[in-house]
Amino acid sequence: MLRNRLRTFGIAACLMAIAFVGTACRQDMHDNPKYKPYRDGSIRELPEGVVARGSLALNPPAPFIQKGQAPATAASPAPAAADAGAGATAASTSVPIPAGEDGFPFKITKEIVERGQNRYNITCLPCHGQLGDGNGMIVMRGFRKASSYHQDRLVKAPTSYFYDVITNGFGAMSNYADQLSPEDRWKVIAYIRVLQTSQHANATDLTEVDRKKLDEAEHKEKTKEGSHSSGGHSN
Amino acid sequence: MPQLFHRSTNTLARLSIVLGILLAGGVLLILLQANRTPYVTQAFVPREQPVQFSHKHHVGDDGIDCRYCHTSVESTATAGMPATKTCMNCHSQLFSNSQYLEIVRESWRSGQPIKWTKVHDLPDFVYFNHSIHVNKGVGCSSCHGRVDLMPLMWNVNTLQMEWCLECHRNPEKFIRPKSKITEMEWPPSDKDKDSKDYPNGWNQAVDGPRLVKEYNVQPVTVLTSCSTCHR
Repeated sequence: MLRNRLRTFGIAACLMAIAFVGTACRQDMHDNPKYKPYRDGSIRELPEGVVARGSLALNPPAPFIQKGQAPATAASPAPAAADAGAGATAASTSVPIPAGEDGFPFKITKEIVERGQNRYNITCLPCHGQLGDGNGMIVMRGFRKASSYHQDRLVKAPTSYFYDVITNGFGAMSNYADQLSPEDRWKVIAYIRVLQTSQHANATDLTEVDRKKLDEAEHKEKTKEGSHSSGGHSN
Repeated sequence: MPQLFHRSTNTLARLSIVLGILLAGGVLLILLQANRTPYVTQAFVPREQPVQFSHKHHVGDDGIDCRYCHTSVESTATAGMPATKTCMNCHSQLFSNSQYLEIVRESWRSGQPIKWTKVHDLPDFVYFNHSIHVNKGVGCSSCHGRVDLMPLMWNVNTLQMEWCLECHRNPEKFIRPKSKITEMEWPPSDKDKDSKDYPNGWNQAVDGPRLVKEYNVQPVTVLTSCSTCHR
């Protein structure tokens, strides 16, 4: 009697174990039949006429125009086009670029410059290099030499020119509209201005403490580099 | 109480009951451990990809920041796979005749995205958001390992719940300064100092809890609540 019961129990246990092992192999819960980003290993192609959420924000006309400023006359896609050549096509599609305070749509603060530096180091540094002299790693690998920000043409170029190039590309540089939000583009430009200033500064512009540090550093490394050209520029 | 064992039951037979239980327990243990091995989790198994993309080259040799390609890692749930255009930013000129990149160029011509093989594939019943981790000081290499040393991509962790909980229970053991998120080598060597974040050198035991506080990381009760990840 007991034996029989034990046997039944044993068979049941075996069946349950088999069922358990069998079901454990199913991945229905792991792979729900639902849409998730990159479900098939890539971006889904958009049907015609569909605009991805948020993508309009990549090139918005609105948020960066200062109040009371007529977008059409704002600053200058014009010199950009003259400078660039590639800018000609750009001007037609590019957004009106504001000539906000100091050439930027917002007031430049330390945080903004730091964010600009952060984004610059991610997005621009591979080609333009840490100093902005156009000697980044990708250039060293054989890419066409990137522009140095310290050449006269770019030192004099308005901020809107840089915005235009980031947004629409220039020469071998493709556009970075997808990789930099409009806000970040302006912040990167702010940092480019910092780089330009850094390479065109006079030692006399420094504070007493910093100049002492500079002297010490120069003492230590008594070689090369004396390219301090004209002092400052409009920033 | 009726007699439990048959008259003929000897020591060996009784022992076999104990052994049977031990054996069953052993098998269960082996199964549970097997579930954690690379055989099941596929850890350290390089995945075949349509293009032999090497993180070792792009991150290790070229020093390109993770976020150059994975642009949305700081702002959305997914880190973001780069569009083919991102590849072409450089490869319009570099290796532009390479047979390896024909698939990239074909994708560029046709507009059909490249279909990559997912390496870190969490179950669909798990909610995971990259941005919150990155913005609270969990670095890329903490989960993805040293991708700068991986010619082809593999996962170094099991991606199982116990692994998630390891950090959710003790975030202070893994947190790092936000400025060092994409740093591959972490923790830094003893000599490494950062004037801003850790002027006296990095000490996880001291700096970890400090950052947990500074970044307002949720208390462990919240981090380990079921609905934090299963929602």
